[in-house]
Amino acid sequence: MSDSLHRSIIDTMRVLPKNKLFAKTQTIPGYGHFLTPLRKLILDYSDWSPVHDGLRSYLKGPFVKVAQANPDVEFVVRMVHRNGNGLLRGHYVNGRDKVICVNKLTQSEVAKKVDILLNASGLQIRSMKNLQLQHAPGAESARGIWSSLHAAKGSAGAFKI
Amino acid sequence: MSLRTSLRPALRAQLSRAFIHTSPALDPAPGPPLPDIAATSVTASPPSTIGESSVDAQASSCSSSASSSSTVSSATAAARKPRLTQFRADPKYAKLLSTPPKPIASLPSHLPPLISESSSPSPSSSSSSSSSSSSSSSSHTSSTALPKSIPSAISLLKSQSTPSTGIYVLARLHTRTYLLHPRDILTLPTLKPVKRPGTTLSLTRILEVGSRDYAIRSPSADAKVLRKYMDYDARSLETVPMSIAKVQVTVLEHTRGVMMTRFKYKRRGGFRKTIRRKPGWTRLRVGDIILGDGGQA
Repeated sequence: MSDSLHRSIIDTMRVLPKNKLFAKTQTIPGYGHFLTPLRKLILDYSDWSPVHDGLRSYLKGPFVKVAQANPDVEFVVRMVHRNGNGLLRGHYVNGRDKVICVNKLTQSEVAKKVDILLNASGLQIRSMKNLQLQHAPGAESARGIWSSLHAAKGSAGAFKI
Repeated sequence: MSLRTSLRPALRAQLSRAFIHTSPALDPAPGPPLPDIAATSVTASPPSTIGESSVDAQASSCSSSASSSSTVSSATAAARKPRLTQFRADPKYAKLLSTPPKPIASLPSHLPPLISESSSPSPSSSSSSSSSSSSSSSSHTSSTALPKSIPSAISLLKSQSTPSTGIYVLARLHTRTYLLHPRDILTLPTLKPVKRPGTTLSLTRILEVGSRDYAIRSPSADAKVLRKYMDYDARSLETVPMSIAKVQVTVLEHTRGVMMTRFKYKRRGGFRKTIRRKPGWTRLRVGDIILGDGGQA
């Protein structure tokens, strides 16, 4: 296909003009609805390695109930061959994945790591120390923003700043 | 000359074009048109004060320069037409000068209404109308009387807000008070017991619910009362009941934050240690604030 023909096809398919700002809808996860951010959880184990004892007993034990309690998550159990590491790999809806190595961990420790992956949202770990309140996109405060020109005048008749 | 008192029509027009809100109540009634500058004796315009826009200052400086030039040489003033008379004579601007500009109602105003100088805003006063909690409303205009019943107070709030906009809540979680709007994300230290993401929790201790001009506030919202309150004694804190306002939060996630390292040492003793900790956080999405009917109280 020639370059000009290709470009003309793309231009006809273009619904919105380029280089222009249009209002975009943004998702507000957790508002009125909730979709589990974890979509897939892969458990890599090996059949013979003593280092995967905890992982194997977890898979034989509480794992099935956990999988049944989370029907919206796809659980994949894979056997690794030849010196593979025991891994929990969680794939999230935002495209990121969290990987946790579970070598030499006991069954209860493996269960805790699975809980970490189930409770997380996939966002990159960042400091939340000064992140107490985040407002919705485009939200305004209900009480408005204080303005000295619109506030009551003081007793002297001057604006109180 | 302050922004609130007399504004000359031409300047008012300029200000309205610049999207500065001028309430018609504050503008003086359109009087007779200004006399010709060349004919009258000119007084210098006063220096610009706080509240005067830059446009106003420019115009006043222009007019003062025009006026000063005419006083200096009165003979040439009659020959030279000052800028203002040209402005007024132009038919293009005749409509602007004759009609006072209307306030721009279509633009969303994020500022509260201008308070007229005669009436001062009534401070929030508590008037107990029910045994369970005191309801009080604060209004900007002194003409609005305080509502006598809880349903009327709620209807005042509803007139200014919807469950998702224009409304806020002061909610207490453990030992902290948070000012929450719908759709906010609240990040807290790990909330125990740990509930799975997607769980909705109800905020039971609401101290205040309000909109832009009105609020229903319990006396517990004051720091004086909160200071005496111990969190394990749930009955003693007087809160806004669920019949008036309901808020739910959804658990988004439980995460761990960035590793924090703290180095402790004491000199000359060989005491050194590094403390590493990863704080746990729970993130909650605030839902709509739903006003009830007041429980027929």
